[in-house]
Amino acid sequence: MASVVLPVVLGVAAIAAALVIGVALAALVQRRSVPYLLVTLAFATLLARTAVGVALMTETVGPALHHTLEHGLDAAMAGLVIAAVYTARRARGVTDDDA
Amino acid sequence: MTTRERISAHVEAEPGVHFNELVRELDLAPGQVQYHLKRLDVVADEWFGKTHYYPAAYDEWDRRALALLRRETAADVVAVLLADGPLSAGETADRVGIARSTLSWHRDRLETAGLVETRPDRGHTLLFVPEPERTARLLDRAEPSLPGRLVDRFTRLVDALLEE
Repeated sequence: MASVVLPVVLGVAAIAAALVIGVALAALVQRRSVPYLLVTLAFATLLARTAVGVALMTETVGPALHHTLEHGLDAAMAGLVIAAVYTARRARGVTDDDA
Repeated sequence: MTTRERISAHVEAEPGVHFNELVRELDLAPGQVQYHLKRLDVVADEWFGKTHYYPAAYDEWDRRALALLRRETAADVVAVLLADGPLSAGETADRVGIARSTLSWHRDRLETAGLVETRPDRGHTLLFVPEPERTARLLDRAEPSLPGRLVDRFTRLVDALLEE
């Protein structure tokens, strides 16, 4: 059963992540700002997680490395979101001075 | 209806339509659309890095205005100012329901196009629509595309989250 469900889940995750990244990239092209770059990279970790899932399924990586990579990507995503919020504050501080 | 008539009707119905939208919505090959557009009485115009197509009847001011008004958020800002303007930037952002940073990004482009102007008022800056009738008429004709809506809503969300 799991052998059928996992590929389907990974497929849905890949399509959804690709769509979100597409929208984020379009927004990045408009705004061309550091916070938007970081937000786009944060969403890119979703696609990376799916890729790691596929790598485990095809036994390209072992369970131990898979686990490390997945949690590493979680940390990266959280870090990128924090950095985006931080740089947005800094960017806004500059515009407030200009106003 | 011939293919050429369909393309012509679509540009007429959605002035400012992108090339990709024509291809997608009419379900035609890009080469086909290109071929017919060259032979139709339509104006191709590049605004903000995208080529838009318009019926020949629209002048340059209208064409640039439509390119902006086809963006959901920009259209919302203009609609609020048409209804309740002149308003301060903060009041405008509150009424549209967007973050200050979202407003300032759209405001730059709206001012460049002459759709929105500012005037000083007792130490504040007020935003208003200098050409209300003309702008309202174009606002009626502007129809956002689905990808455009998605990106606009995404930027609204991200700006609001980063604003905290």
